[in-house]
Amino acid sequence: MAEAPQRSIRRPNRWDQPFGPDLTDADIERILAMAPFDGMDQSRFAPSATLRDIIRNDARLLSFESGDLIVRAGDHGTSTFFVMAGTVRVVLPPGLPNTLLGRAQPQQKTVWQSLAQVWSRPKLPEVRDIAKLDLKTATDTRVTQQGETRTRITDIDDICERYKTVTLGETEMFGEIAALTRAPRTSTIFAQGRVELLEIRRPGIRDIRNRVASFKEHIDGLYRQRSLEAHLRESWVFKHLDNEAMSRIVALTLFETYGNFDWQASFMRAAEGTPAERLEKEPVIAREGDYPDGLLMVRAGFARVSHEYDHGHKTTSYLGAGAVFGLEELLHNWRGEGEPVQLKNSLRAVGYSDILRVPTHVIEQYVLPTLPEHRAAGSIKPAVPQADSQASTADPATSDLAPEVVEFLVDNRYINGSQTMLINLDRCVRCDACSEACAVGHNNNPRFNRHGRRIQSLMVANACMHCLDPVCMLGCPTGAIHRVEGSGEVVVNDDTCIGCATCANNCPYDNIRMVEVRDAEGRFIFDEITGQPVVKSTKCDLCVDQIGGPACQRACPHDALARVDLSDTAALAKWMGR
Amino acid sequence: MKGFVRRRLVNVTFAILAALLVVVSSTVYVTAINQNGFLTGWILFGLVLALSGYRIRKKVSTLPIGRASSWLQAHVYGGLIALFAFFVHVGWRVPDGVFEGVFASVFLLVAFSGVVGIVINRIFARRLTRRGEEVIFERIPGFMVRLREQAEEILLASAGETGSAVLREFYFSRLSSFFAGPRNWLGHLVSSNRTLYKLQNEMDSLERYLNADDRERLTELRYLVERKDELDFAYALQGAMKFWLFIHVPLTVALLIGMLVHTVLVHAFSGGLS
Ligand code: HEM
Repeated sequence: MAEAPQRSIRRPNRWDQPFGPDLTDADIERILAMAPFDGMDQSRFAPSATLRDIIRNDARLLSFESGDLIVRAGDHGTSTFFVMAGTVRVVLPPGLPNTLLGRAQPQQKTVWQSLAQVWSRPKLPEVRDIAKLDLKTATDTRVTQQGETRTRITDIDDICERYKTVTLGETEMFGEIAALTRAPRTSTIFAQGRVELLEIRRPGIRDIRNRVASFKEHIDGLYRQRSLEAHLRESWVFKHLDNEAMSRIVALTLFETYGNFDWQASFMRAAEGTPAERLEKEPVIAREGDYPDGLLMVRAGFARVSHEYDHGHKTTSYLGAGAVFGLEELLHNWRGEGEPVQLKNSLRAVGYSDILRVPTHVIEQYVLPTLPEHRAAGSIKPAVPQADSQASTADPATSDLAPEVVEFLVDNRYINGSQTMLINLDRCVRCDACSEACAVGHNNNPRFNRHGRRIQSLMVANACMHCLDPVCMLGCPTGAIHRVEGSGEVVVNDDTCIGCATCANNCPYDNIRMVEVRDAEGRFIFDEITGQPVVKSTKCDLCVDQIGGPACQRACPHDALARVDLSDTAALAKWMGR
Repeated sequence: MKGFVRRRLVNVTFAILAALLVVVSSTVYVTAINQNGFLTGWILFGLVLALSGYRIRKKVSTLPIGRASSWLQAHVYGGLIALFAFFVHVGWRVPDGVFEGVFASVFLLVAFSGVVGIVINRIFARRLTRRGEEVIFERIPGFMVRLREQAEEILLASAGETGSAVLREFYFSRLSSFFAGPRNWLGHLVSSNRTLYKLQNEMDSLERYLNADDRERLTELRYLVERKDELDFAYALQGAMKFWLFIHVPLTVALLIGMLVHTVLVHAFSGGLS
């Protein structure tokens, strides 16, 4: 038989897609001459990725007019900003009201309004109130010559008077912690007068941090000071410790990053290939059989727990933020019962993971002697997943899930979902009561698709999962897509959405739909300036404004559909085992 | 014990107790007041109204008035209790009189269609999951058209290149009607794959008459036939899960009207307590 011709492709390179339009040599010289870059020892950078290369490819220059919003509190962003010229204002907590940030606080419907939806819905899809769309509010949005969208607060003097703010000037930096930890931005920042900023995306910042000791010290110091303790205390392992022990642990904890921060971009490629090939691509955080040199805690992102099984690897569970790995082995070795054991499982970064590594001697000194009795119970068994965030160390809830289900959820990155729509096809009679209920609550527009990938009788429907790592929120120019304050649902403010589709393109699960909208008579609405149809981003909002919560779940007569937090594997296992 | 098993046990126990209560209370009532059927009549009246109320719950899905699944549980077991109360009400006899006969039949049709419906739902949902891809019912006719077009393209290619009469004749005598629309409804409902099996056998026996190109086309056709059979299967089962409600729901309206007439008549001609 003739051999199939070999297929070759050009491997994508790191800088195939520079962050912004090319910076000129003069720009780069100017940047390198400014603090903090002027103080960086350029010889410490690898010849294949010099500081100059990093600036050229991972940075861009942005200009803002007075009042332009630069970042909003609650936004998710992966870049850091340096003030090149001018000053910016940081709004201190409690911060600006949602209306100024392009967001809407959902208003719960009254009983009467809920009922009236049944008959007062428009017949046609995507009908909007044109008066509401034609915005005249305290902010205005424009597109710059470079195609960037800017939203401006019109009365900044009033803002500075009414809200507590501080000023940052030339050479100062902001946004580094949110960018490095993928946490939401903590403050809103706007331009005061004309401002020029240098924005560096995360891989660039990560490289600079790795190469420049003073920069690393600065950023790590900030992180230790502001966030590390809170992150550690998210786990039950550290929750009970007193402040003194905690401050020792904080000082000795290492932080590490694995995988690709922009995982959503390469996600589809990652899902290809055999299970072994997929596993091979995931960076190893800790390897089965190695000495447990510390307790690992996932700070952000996800990780896969697996162990060797004949010629393959069996995925037994996955870990999200706050979960720990290696505790059972550490406990066993510390107690000195029987032979010391090595790690029973491997831990790999799924997409990307930020890991906190608390060295073994620190754990043995401060944590193990003080573990609550019921948590410390149990002994080591061969090749069991020992990692979990809630249950005792020896009683992993995840073991109730079949490995193929765990693998399916991990490989498709569904583990990101906090409200994933799961359908048990053995019970679903395909009656579409869920879609109809959704349409009733959304002006006759179902906001999900009763369709999706399957494993056995479990279907993950195409509905917004309200992700723990909401990549859809990266780069929304108007702040229209945001988390609801307090409850955390990811929603789109229809009034401020400009239809740019950044969120829809970012969503790796294809759960955001762009739609052309109509007026009450059913005519499509066009933009006054461009003449193009007005487009809006739409998705499941988890019925935030409905009194009863998600209508899909309540409308299913056959207990076939549920919105499930996939980080709670015990709840998932329970739901599946009914 | 698993969640659904426990729920079924609790509900069945409750339904049996409720049925006993119906028997005991009606016996006591008849003995005390010597008025046959009035108590069970009113129990049935209330139950039928409550059972019909399920439709309203389904329409107002955004109000927090309990999950539809809890309502359905109440509906199914309430329906079974109503069925039992009906037999107690008519004294386990066939009612006489044309109106009474028709009215009783309507009730029985509603109740039995409900029982058949729930059984169909439970069985067919599982069977659907075990075979073929998940397809949305409304899209099936569109997919069928696409398969037919693909089959016709294969046939056209064969006619253009080899002009084989065998493939053409087979297509027009056996496949064109198969691809024309949903087929083999009943067969799929009762898990019979006779149609597919026959077609596959016939295609196998054609193979020896074809040249290499047409043999390849036959393989492609075979694949399309299998896909079409999967769609037929999904169409039949999903259709059945929808179809039974077209008996259950409209007859409920007839039942409600009949119930009103029956109640008025019975009270008008009862002449009060004896
Ligand atoms: C005897 C009086 C009964 C009446 C008046 C009645 C009425 C109704 C009505 C109005 C619906 C709503 C249909 C819809 O809007 O989709 C319904 C649905 C249903 N009924 Fe009944 N029913 C009765 C008995 C039963 C019984 C005895 C059973 C089964 C044991 C049953 C099982 C069902 C099922 C499974 C559904 C559909 C559930 C769904 O998918 O939403 N019913 N019935």
